[in-house]
Amino acid sequence: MKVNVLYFAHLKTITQKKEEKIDLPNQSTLLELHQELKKKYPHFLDTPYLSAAINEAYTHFNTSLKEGDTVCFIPPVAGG
Amino acid sequence: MSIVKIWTKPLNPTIHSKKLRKNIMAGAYVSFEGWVRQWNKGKKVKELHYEAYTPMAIKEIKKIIDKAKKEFSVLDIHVHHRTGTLQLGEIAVWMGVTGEHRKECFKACEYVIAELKKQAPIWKEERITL
Repeated sequence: MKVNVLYFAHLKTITQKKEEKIDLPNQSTLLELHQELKKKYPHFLDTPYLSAAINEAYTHFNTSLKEGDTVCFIPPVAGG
Repeated sequence: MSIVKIWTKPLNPTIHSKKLRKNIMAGAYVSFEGWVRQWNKGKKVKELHYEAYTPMAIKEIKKIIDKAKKEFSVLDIHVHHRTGTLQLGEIAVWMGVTGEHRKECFKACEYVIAELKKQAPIWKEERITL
C-alpha cells in the first residue's frame, strides 16, 4: 500500500522534501513507517522527539495505516 | 461561531476584532497579540519564519476553542495566526474572546494561547543577526 507523508520544519530540511509517497506492507503501523524513513534518512528525528498524525489528527505510533492515508510526523511545535 | 484562520499576509486586529463586537450578549472582550521581539535568550533576532500544517492547525485550534468555551463559559473566540517571514514588531498571532464577564475571558484567552503553543502544528524558525 502507498501512504503520503508530509514534512515540515526540521524534517523538511532533513528530507529536502515537502511530501512523498512511501510504499509499505499492508497494515504497517506508524512506527514501521518511521523505521523505514529512518533507514532512508539516517538523520530523521527519533520517535521521542516526534508526534504523529494521520489524516490531520494526532494519533499513537502503534496505529495501523491504510492505503491512501496522509501521514505527518510532527517535530516539536512552536506557534504563537 | 468561532473563526480560525492562518494567514500569509499581515494580520489586521481592527478588522479581526470588529467581527467579535457584534454580540450584544457580551459584556467583556479580551484580546491578545503575539509580536516578533528583537531579543530572545540573549540572541538578537532578525526575523521569524513561521510555517504551519494549515488544515490540521485549524482543526486543532478549533478543538482547543471548543474546550475553552465549555470550560470557561465564554461566548466566542477567534484566532488568527501568521505564516511566512515576519519582521520585528509584526503580529504573529491575534486572538479575541468575548463573554459576559471579564474573568472568564482572561482565563479562556490564556488557556487558548497556551494550548495553541503546545498542540497546533505550527513551527517557528528564528533567524538571528550575526
